[in-house]
Amino acid sequence: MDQEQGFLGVLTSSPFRIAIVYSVAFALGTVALLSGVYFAVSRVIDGSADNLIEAEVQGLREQYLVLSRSDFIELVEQRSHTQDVRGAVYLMVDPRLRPVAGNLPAWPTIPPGEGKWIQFKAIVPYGDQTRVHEVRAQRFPLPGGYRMLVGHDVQERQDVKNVMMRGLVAAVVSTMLIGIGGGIWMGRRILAHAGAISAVATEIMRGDLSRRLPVREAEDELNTLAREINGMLDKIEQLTLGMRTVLDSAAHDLRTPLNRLQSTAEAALTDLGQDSPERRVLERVTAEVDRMRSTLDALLRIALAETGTVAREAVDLSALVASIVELYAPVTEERGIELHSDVVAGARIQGSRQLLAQALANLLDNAIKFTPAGGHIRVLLRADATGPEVTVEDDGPGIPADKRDLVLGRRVRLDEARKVPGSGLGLSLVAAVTKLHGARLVLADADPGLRVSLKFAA
Amino acid sequence: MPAGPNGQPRGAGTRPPPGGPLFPPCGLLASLAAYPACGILSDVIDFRFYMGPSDGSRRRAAAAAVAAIPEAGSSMHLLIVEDDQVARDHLARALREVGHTVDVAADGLEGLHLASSIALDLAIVDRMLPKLDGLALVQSLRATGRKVPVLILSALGDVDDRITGLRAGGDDYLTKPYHVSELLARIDALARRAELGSGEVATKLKLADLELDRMTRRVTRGGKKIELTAREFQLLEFLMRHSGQVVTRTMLLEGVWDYHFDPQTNVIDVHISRLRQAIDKDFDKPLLHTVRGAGYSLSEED
Repeated sequence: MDQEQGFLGVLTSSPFRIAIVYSVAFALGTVALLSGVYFAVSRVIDGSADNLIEAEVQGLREQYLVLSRSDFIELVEQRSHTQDVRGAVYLMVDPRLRPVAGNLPAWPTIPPGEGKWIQFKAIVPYGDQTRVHEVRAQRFPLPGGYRMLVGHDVQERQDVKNVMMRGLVAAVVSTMLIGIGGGIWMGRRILAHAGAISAVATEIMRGDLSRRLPVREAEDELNTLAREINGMLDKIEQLTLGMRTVLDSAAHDLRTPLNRLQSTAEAALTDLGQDSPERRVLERVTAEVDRMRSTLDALLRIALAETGTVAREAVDLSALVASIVELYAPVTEERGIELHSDVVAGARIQGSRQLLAQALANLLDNAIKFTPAGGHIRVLLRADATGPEVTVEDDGPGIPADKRDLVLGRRVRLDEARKVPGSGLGLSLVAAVTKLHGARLVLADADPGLRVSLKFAA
Repeated sequence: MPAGPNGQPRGAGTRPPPGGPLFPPCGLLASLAAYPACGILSDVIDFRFYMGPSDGSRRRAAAAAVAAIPEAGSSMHLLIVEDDQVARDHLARALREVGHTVDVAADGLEGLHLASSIALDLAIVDRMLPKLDGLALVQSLRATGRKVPVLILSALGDVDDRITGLRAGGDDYLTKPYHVSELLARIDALARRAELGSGEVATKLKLADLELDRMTRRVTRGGKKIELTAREFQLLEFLMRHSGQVVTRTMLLEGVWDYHFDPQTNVIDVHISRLRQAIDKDFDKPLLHTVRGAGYSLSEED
C-alpha cells in the first residue's frame, strides 16, 4: 500500500470495502423493514376506508328504496355536507351524468367496466376549501338511470405512503453516507498505519535493521502483526550483528598480524644494504602480504555484502557506469582492446556506491584479462520500466555454459584461467554485491566471449 | 612547515624528539641531511627502504626520491596512538627517519591526554584501542575544539568503517596492513591540507612554467595552451595541489575518482602516462615523476 495513492488508496482499502458491503446490507434491511411497515399501515387504512364505503353504499341503497327521489337527493346533500365522516365523498348524477347532489363537481371520467372499486383524482372539499385528492370509491346505478358514487378521500393513505417513501430514501441515503464516511475514516486510519508500516519496512529492506514497525495503542490485528514482526526483526538484527561482529573480529585478527609482518619486513628492509641477498626475501614477503591483503579485502567485502549490513544511499548508476568506463578506457586502449559503451542517462538505484563500483571494476578487470589485443569489450547500461540493466561483454574465450554457475562460487578459477593472475574472487564479489542490491546476475554467451548482466529492480 | 634550502627537511636530525629517539637518527633522509657519516646509506637515496618492493634501477629510484624530498620531508611533530607494540615501534622509527618528531601512546586515554596537551602537527590513531576507543578519542578531541589533523588506522573492514571514521572527525583513513610509503604520502597530504586551511584553494595553481586556472579550466605550460580531458584536468589539479609531494595510486583513485578499492589493472598508471604525454612531452624539463614503489610526484626537481 502506497501512501501516494491518497484518496484512491482509501477507496480500494479493505476497511472501506467492508464498510460499503455492510452499509449496503443495512440499507437493504432498512428498505425491507420500512416496506413491511408501509404495507401493514396501508392495509389498515385501506381496510377501514373500504368498510366505511361498503356500509355507506349499503345504507344508501336501502334509503333509496324507502325515500322519494327528492328526499334521497336531500339526504345525499346532507351527508355530503356534514363533517361527521371526514373525507366522505358523494355524487349523484342524472342519466346524462350531470351532478344532482353530492360534493364532487363532476362524474369521474373512468372507463366503464372497471370493477367495483375505482380510484381517481378529484376536487374534494377540504374544510372550507377544496383540494385535488386521491379518491377511492364505489359506483352503483340507481333506478331511473341515475347513478350514485360513494367514496372516500384516500389522500391520507397516499400521504403516509409518500412520507414513508421519503423516510425510506432518507434512511437508505443516510445509512450509505454513514457507511461510506465510516469506511473512509477507517480506511484512512488503517492506511495511515499500514503506510507507516510499509515505509519502515522499505527502510529495513534497504539495510537499516535498527528500524522497527510502528505499534499503536489499540489492540488490533495490525498491531499484533507489527509486534510479531518486530520480534522477528530483533532476532534478525541480533543474528546480523553477530555475523558483523564475527566479521569485524576476523578482520581485526587477520589484519593486525599482517600489519605487523608488513611493518617488520619494511623496517628490516631499511636496515639492509642495497645488494644484500636477504633483500629479495623480504621483498617477496611484502609482495605476499600485498597479495594476502587484497584477498582478505575481497573476502571481507564479499562477507560484508552478504550480511547485508552495508549502508545504502541513492546511487546515480548512469554516472557510476560512465565513470568506471572512463577509468578503464585508457588501459583498454593501451592493450589494443576496443571499449564500446552505451550508457543511458538518469538510471538511479539505492545501494552502496563503493561496492557497486568495485563490482563493475571487477567485471572490467576480468574482461580485460581475458580479451586479447584486437578484441572488443562492450559496456551497456539500459533502463526500462522493469529497472536498469548493466551488461559487460567481451569476445574472449568466455565461460562454458556448464561452468557458469561454478565460477560464481568462491575461489573457483577455471583451468584455462590459472595462467592469468588474480584471486579468483572477482566474480564472487560481483555475485555478492548483486545479491545485496536485490539484482539478478546472469552469465551468458556473447558468442564468442562472456556476457555478464546485472539486472536491477525498478 | 617551511622547508630548508634545497628543500631538505630543516628539522631533520637537528631536533631530536623529546624523550630521545628509539633509534639513532641514522635513517634515510637524516643521513643525507646531517649525518653524512652515518653508514653506507649516506650516498644512497632510495625510497624503497620504506616504500615497498622495487625492481628498478638504483639511479632512477634515487632521482625520483630526490624529487619527492622538498615537501615530503618537512619535519612535523606527530603522535602515534597504537596498542600493537611491533607496529607502533616500526612506524615511529620510520617516521623519525624521515625527520619527524614522534610521540607514542599505547592506549586511548594516554593518547587523548597527549593529543590535548602538546602542540601536534598530526595524530595517527588506531581505530581499536584499549581504555578509550580510537573513534571516541577523535570525537573527544574534536569536542574540545582541537583541529589537529587525524589519520585513522584501522584493522576493520572498510566501506562503512571508513565513513564512520571520517564522520567521527578523522581526516583520513588507512586500512591495515599498509605500506609505510602510503602512510607517509598521506601524512604529507594531510599536513599540506591543514597548512593551507580547509576553505579557500587558489584559483590559479602554478608549478614552474605549468599553470592551471580552476575557473577557466585552462592549462598552459610556458604560455602554450595544453588540451586536457575533464578527468586529466582533475588529475593534474590534484597533483598540483600536492606538488612536491608523493601521491600514491590509492590517493589518486580516492581523490580524483572517489573510489576506495584496488583495481586489478594498472588503470591509474595509464591515466598518468597520458597526462604526462600532455604536459611533459614537448618540454625539456619533465614535471611529472614516478616515485618507485610509491606513486607519483609533480615537482620541479628532477
